[in-house]
Amino acid sequence: MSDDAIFIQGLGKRFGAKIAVEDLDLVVPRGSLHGLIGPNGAGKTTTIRMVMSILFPDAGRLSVLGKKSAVESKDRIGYLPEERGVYRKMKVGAFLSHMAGLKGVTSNVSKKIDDWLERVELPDVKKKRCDELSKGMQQKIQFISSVIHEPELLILDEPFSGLDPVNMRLLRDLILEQHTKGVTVIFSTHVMIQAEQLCDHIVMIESGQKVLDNTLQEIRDRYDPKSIVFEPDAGVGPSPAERHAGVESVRQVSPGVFEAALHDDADRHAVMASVLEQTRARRVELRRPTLEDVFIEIVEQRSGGDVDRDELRAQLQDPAVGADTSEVTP
Amino acid sequence: MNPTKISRVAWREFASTVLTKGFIIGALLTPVLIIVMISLVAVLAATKSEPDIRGEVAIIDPTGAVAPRLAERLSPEALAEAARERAERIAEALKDVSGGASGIAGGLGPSADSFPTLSVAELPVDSDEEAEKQRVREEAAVEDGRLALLILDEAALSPQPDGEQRQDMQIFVRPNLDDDVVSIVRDAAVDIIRDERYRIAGVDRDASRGLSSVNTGSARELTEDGGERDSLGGFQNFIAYGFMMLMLIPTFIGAQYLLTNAIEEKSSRVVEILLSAVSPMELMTGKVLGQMFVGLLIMLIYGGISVYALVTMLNDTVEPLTIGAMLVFFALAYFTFASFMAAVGSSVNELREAQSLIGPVMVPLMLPYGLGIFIADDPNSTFATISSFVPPIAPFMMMLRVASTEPPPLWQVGLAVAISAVTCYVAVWMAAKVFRVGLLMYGKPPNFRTLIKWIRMA
Repeated sequence: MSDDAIFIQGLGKRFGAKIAVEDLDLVVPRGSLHGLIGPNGAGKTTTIRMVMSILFPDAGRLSVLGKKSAVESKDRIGYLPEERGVYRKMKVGAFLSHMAGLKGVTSNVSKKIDDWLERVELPDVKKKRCDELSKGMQQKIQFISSVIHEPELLILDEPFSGLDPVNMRLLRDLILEQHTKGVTVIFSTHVMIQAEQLCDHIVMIESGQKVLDNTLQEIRDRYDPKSIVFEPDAGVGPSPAERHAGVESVRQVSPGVFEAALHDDADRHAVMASVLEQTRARRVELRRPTLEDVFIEIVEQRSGGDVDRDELRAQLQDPAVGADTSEVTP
Repeated sequence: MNPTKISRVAWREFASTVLTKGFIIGALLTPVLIIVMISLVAVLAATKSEPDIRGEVAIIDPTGAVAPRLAERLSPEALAEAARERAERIAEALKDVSGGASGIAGGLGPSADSFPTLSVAELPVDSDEEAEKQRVREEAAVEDGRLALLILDEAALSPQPDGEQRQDMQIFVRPNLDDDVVSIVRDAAVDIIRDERYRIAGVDRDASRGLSSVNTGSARELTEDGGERDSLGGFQNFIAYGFMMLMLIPTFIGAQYLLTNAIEEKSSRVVEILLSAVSPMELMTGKVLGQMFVGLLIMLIYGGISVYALVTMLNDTVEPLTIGAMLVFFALAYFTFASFMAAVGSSVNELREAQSLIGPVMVPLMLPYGLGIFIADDPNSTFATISSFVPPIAPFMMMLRVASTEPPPLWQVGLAVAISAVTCYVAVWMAAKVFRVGLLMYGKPPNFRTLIKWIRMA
């Protein structure tokens, strides 16, 4: 039995004819902060539900916190599902103490609830009924219910969906704080930028299969697009690409913004210097690959180039898409 | 399965059901209200003070013997005496049945302390009957007016002939005249006629009464334990039906609550948060147990009242064995129906979608209401015997037979328990599978085929 927080080997799950997860291997070492990314319907939630023993795999084996199933270590795991809600008619305090009780917290429950409500900036809601809270407030209550028992492993499925930017930052800080405390955190998102801001390790899932599993730094090194972005002063056109040694092609990415793709062996700094020398520019920068670029590139490679990039990109950015309920149809 | 978690889920289920206005009003206050209403009616009836009825009773009496005595019989003193006697008689009669229900007894007859003020007018024998009736009509609204007209047959004092029916007296009254007043007048006249007939026949009325009155007392049942008791006859079967209802209603209510609560947990999306702490089986077990305690509470309230009423008012005893049987059959029936309802609740998104699925559960729950009447009538008929082995209604039907006057042989009770236990096990097993899959299914509401697919899938 592995001592990793999560150990998955050859995991598979199908619903009728639809394959949700196929031959998935995954190791999440203790103390790490893993991001599970991929578009909607990729199999993230199904994987997480199998880890949580809410669904049972058709194939493969897994261990959670050194136990064969999460059932045996549920009280040591915090889980914020994507499909989440509260008992509408229950008081916030009663709901949280019910959840704490279910997770085996027996001492200082009331104090812990007060502390947490304070920290998520909802100090006065304890006596309120859950349905008096806004959706974002309810989400913070749900987050508390996933951490109130001080878990060793925290699994968050789309934790940011439906939050405004202020609360998104608040939640991000709380997640990082758990990570700093030594809690293993794994969270899923279809909005790549969130994973980029938070994780040190990325696992990318597409159509039920793992397509990437690496640290953020290594991913960036490997998927370096080798291009520079430049924005000439108004009225000045881009200098012809051929004038710069090492430039393969230039394309306009948005009005007044150009991207120059470089040859593999080109010296990027020399090209940048050369561009600055010949064109008055507001901005010249080395482009960092985003997870989005990486994902699109991987999808393209896998499908042999037959991909609608714009649609894929829209799916990975719009948080509203994440608000959809995912449907599991057998 | 973690017992602590199950008990926490059960407690929440119980508390969130019982500690609501709806439940407190519905289940706890209703019996109180019923008792208050009954007592209120009794008190009102006992103390009813109608406006005094005053008026004239006219009589056309060709026999000449009734009219003079009628005035005497309807005098205020005589009426007061008669009312008092009647109240005493009724109270005496009711004491046999109901111990101390004199409040109700007072309400049944004319009140002992309120009676009409009546004057008697003897009309000439050759009066125009139609004209006299017309006077009753005309004076309908007049205080002190004519209330009633009695017309006696001239042969009224001779004995009724064999074969044909002779009408000895006709009574005409104003519209809406109090029934009590009508009976006072009629009874007085009839009694006088009877008295006159005895006198003419030369028979001493008191002696005749002594001859015709034979007192047997009520039938006594000789019980197996060597004792004896008053026969309750059909009433015992009524009690048996009551026992069945006592387990049917909590089953019904518990199953309903499970359905709505499961749907609520699912539609509010709280269910997966719960599943992060408890397994689906723990969740379902906790919920089913929680509602069982709700059912037991309802049973305790209504059963307690019923048993108290039985013991105090009818001096009947309830065998501890009957109560034990009721608890066993309730548990078996409840788990069967409740787990099915929990499964349905977990598989749909809203109550509306559940309607088509719960039909097959509701029909078996309705059957005992109707069939129970036949079985209570004849608890050992072939029909009764067979139906007490048919799942899923076997627990109700067997309960009815166990509580009836002729309990079935022990092996039949055992067989019914065994059949119900197997049914219960299968229901819980299937429900658990549907529950686990259904909880996370959103979207298209399932039909029976999908449910069966889930059972095979899980």
